[in-house]
Amino acid sequence: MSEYRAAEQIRWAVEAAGVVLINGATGAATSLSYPEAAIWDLITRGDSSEKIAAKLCAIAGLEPVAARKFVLDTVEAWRKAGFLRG
Amino acid sequence: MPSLVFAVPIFDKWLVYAPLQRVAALVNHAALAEFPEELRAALDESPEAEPRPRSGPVSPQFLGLVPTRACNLSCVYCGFGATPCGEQMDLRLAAAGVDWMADYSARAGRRTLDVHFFGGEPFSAPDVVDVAVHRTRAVAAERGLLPRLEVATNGVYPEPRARFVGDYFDAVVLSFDGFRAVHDRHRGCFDQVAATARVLAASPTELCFRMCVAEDNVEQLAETVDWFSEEFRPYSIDFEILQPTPESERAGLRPPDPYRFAAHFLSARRAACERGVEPVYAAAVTEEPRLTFCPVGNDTLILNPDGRLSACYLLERDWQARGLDLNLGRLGTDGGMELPGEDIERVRQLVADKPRCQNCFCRWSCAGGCHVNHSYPGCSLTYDDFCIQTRLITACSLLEGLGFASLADDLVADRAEMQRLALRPSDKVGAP
Repeated sequence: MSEYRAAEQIRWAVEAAGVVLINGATGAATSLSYPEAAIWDLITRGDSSEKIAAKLCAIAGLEPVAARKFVLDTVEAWRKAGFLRG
Repeated sequence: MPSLVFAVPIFDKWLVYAPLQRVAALVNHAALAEFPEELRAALDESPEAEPRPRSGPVSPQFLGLVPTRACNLSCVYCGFGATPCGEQMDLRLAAAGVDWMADYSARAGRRTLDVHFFGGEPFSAPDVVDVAVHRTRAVAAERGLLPRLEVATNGVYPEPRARFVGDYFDAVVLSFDGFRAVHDRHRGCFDQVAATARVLAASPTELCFRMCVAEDNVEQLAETVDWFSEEFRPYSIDFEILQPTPESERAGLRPPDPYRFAAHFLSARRAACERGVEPVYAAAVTEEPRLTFCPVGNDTLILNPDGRLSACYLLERDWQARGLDLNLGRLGTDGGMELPGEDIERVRQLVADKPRCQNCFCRWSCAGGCHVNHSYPGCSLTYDDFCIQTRLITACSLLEGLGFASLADDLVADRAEMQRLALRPSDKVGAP
C-alpha cells in the first residue's frame, strides 16, 4: 500500500476523546474517535501502514489480520473523503 | 505544652511551627516560654491527624510506565547506567498496564486515568509510548474517564516527536539544566533541547523544567530562571540537587554547598514568582502533612519493561544496595496481575520509619526526601546537606508566608545564623 499524508486543506486538533479534523477550505469538522484517532496520529507522523497495524493490535486489542484490514479500510475511506493524499 | 510544636531560631526571635494545626508565628524568646493568648488559642485548635501509612486496598495515584531503561544521552551525572540500546517493554504489557489502571480508576470512581512515563528516556522506545498513549486515551474514552498523561524526558528527538509530545501529554517534565555551557557540560545537545522546549512552549501541554543544580550552576539560578521564563514560558521549574554518582565524580561535578543553594534558591524563587512561573523544591512543600514526598508509600505502581511492578522508578540494584525491597508485584502480557498484600504493606510501613526526622520541623513536609538516596534504613542520624538546605528553605518559606521576606533575606545572608538554625538537633519546643 502506498503511504499517505494529510491533505493540504486539512487541519486537526487533539481532544481528550480523539481528534477533530477541520477542512480549512470548507470549515467542515469531522470528529475521529478511537481507534481511528490513533491511526490519524500515526499516519500523519509518517508510520507505514504495516507499522500502524502492528501498533493497532495493542491499542485496540485486534488480531493482526483484523488490524491490517481496519487500517486499510480506514485509510481508503479517508482518501475518498479527501482527508489524505498520496 | 503541645508536643507537636516546633521552633527554630531566627536571629533574636523564634519561628514557631505546628504543622498539624497549620500554624506558624514569629515570636520573641519570652513568648516561646509562654505562648501569647492568640497563638495558644490557635495551637489549642484540634490538630489534623498525624499522617499515617496508607491502609486498605491498594490505591495508586497513577500508573508509572518505564517503556525502557535505554537512553539516547550519556549525562555525566546519570547513575542509571543507560545505553542507547536496552530492553523495551512488550507492547501488550504496556496495554495490559493501562487496562489495569483504567479498571481500577473506574471502580474507584475516579474522574481521570493517570499514566506517567519514566525512563531511561521513554522516547528511546517510541513504539511503546505510542501504544500506551493511544491505549490510555482509547480506554479512558470508553470508560468516561479523562486521560491524564505525563512524561519525564530529555527532549532530544526530532520536531515531529516534540509536536506529538506537546499535543498528547498534559504535562511534560523536561530536563534542562540552564544556559548552553552548563547544559552541555551536564547533559549535551543544548540546541535540540532548546528547540524541543520551544515546540512544547507553543503547545497546550503544561511544561515543567527539571533543573539539576550543581556547584557549577548554583550561582546562576536567578538569571537562569529569568532566561527560562522569557524564552520558554514554562509552567514550573523544579530545582533538584545533583545526586553524586561515580560518573558525576569522574566528571568533576559536585553538589552545591547547601547554604549557598538555599540562598540562591530563594532569589530564584522570587524571580520565578515575579514572572508567573511556579518554582518547585519538592522537599519544602508545607501545604499538607505527609509521610512521603515521592511515589514510594503512595501505592503508586511503576511498571518496568520486564513486567515487575515497583514502588520506585529508580533501579532495583540501587534499592538493593540500601537493603530495600521496593518490588510490589508483577504484571503479565495477558493482564494477569500479582500484587501481594504483604508487599504493599511492607512498602507502606517503610515510609513511617525515619529516625533522623523525628525532631525536625520539616518531618511532615520534606518527609525525609528520597527513600533510596537519603532516608534509607540505617542512614546517618545527623543532618546532611539535603537536610540543611531543606530546613533553611522551609524556614524561609514560612517566614515569607508570614510576611517577613526581608528577614528571610537577612537569614540567608548570614552563614553563622543559617548554621545555628540548620544544625540544631531538635526543633521540638522544650528541647534543649
